[in-house]
Amino acid sequence: MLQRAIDSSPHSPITDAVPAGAPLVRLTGVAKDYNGFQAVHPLDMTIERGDFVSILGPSGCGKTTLLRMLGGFITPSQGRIEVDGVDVTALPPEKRATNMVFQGYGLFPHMSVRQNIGYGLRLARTPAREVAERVEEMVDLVQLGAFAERAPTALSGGQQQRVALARALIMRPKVLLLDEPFAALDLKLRKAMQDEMRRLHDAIGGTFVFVTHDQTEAMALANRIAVMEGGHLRQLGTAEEIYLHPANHFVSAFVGEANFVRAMRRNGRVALSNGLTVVSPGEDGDVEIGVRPERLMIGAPAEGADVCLRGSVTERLFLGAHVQYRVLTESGETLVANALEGHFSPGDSLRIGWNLADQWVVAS
Amino acid sequence: MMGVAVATMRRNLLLVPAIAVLGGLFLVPLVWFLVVSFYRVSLFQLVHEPNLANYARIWSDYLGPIGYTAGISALIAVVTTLLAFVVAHLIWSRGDGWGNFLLGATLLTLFGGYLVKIYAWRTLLGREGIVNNTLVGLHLTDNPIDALLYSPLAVVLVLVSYLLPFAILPVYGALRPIDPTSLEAARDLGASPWGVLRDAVLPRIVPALLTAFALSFLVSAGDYVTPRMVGGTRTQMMGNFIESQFGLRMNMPLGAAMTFSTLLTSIAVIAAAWIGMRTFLRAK
Ligand SMILES: Nc1ncnc2c1ncn2[C@@H]1O[C@H](COP(=O)(O)OP(=O)(O)OP(=O)(O)O)[C@@H](O)[C@H]1O
Ligand SMILES: [Mg+2]
Repeated sequence: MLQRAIDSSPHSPITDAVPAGAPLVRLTGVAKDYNGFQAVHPLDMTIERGDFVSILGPSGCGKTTLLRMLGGFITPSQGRIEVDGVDVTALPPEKRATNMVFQGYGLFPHMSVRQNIGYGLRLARTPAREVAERVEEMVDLVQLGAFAERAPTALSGGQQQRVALARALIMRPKVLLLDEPFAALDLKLRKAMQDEMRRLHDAIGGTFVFVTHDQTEAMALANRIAVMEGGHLRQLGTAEEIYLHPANHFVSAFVGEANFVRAMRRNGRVALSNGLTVVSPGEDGDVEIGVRPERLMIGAPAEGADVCLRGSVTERLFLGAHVQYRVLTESGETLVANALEGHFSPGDSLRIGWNLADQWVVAS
Repeated sequence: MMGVAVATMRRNLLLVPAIAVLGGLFLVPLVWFLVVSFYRVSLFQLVHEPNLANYARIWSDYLGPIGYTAGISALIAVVTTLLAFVVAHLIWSRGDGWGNFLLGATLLTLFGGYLVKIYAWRTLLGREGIVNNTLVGLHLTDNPIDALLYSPLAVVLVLVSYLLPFAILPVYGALRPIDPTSLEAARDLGASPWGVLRDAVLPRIVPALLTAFALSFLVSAGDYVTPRMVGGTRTQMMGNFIESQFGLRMNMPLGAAMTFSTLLTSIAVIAAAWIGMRTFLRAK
């Protein structure tokens, strides 16, 4: 029932006019310049109906700026934002079919939890009966029944978070925007809220855009991840795509850990240090071959690998779930390998290798 | 158990100085006045015979002046509170230098004394004042307008300008802790800029607005200097009548009764203002 309700959002008088298959959100050349400081460089991006997109990047890379442009709190200095085929670039937040969960929650301290949740509907002159029903629906959905008559100031951080979520969700937004909503919560609560978020998205559908600087959180939640750096969109893809096939050095290193081996590309082929060459289209010049620590094989299994190098162990760390080795290869590269077994010690000579399917090539 | 009792006693003991100051400086004189208002004077002596004659006299002769005083004071309080909100909101919403400049300017005007302000307005509004000279100079009028000074309007102007900084401070103090994110959230949920003010700002500063209103009202209703200096002969406020009873006429009981009548009226007006604010300044 909620699914149907979201699709027939009150904000969408022109839904029918949009051809099927068109993206729900389309950003074209959107950029933001703060008095000469380019916080977001012109970027294109589309978000499909039902997507759970995560905007991931280090602090100060422009995530909040991008999200606030979607919500209407910041006017882009150039470019165009369309939601459901309608150009909303110049619309203020109250006229947009998006709703936001703010980092600081922004709850109304002079209203009870129920009043907070129902505020948007009351503004929209929804009949009191319907407001009451939908508020109850939301209170149940985010499991706030026991606190519904309290003031928000009498709630814990996680509970306040859920009020903020319910207050935005009740509007049945075409796009729900969330700015690091769990940043202030401790790790355990954060994991619980992530589970809850996934459950919510599964239960009611809808399109979510979620800002975070935590890659595990992005991977745990989103079906598509947009990685940003210094105001640029560096890659947009599924968790697998950005983890296993990062598009550039930044994404390789920011999402998880990565080893880099220098190489040269000539005529669309990259030569590896063991003489092997692989097909890799792109500009000629210096490149880096990337491979994840857990994809590196050491000892006997490495001998059967596509790429196999000799090296010696310089460091061994027991980290519980795995053992981390630092290996200096004969060609002078330091590689980090994660292995389940730990029978090597610093000083041991060994073979280290990986399969071509586990590597990627990026310009250096 | 003993510990708790001792702690409670200590805490109560700490209240003693506050109660002593409040009681000694405020309550005792007030009660004494209340008692006196039921006496009368004869040959400049207090006659300790309780009666209602003073109040009867106020009922027959002074309802007009009390109403006039309450009316003009309410006008002053409303104008002051409105302006105080506008200025405080400006200071608060302008995080940049402008806000600080305005706040600084507000505090600076507190340095000019009360009489200085009255004389400043007299030089502005008087027969030879700046406003009249300008009007005559521009040939907008042939003769200076006397009604500028010595009029109820002048009383309103002087008191509003005097009270404004005092009224700005509580309102600004109440605005400051408001989380700007809650204003954006209201916008996000569909409120227009005016809706944000109505739902997310005003309901939260009712106590401060009432403070500003009550302060302006009480100071105006008790003032007798401003009406005398700029109000002219026709602007007689209760302060002037009360002062003359205590002064020239040496009728302390009647003066005390007038004081209490004015006080009761003031309390009624402030209570009405409170109910009004609570009724109209509510979130949707
Ligand atoms: N109002 C502003 N004026 C000038 N520069 C700004 C303004 N707001 C943000 N910036 C700058 O723009 C850049 C991007 O800011 P933004 O808030 O979008 O970062 P973010 O990715 O959300 O970072 P974080 O993870 O720390 O929240 C930052 O370098 C910031 O200093
Ligand atoms: Mg941010």
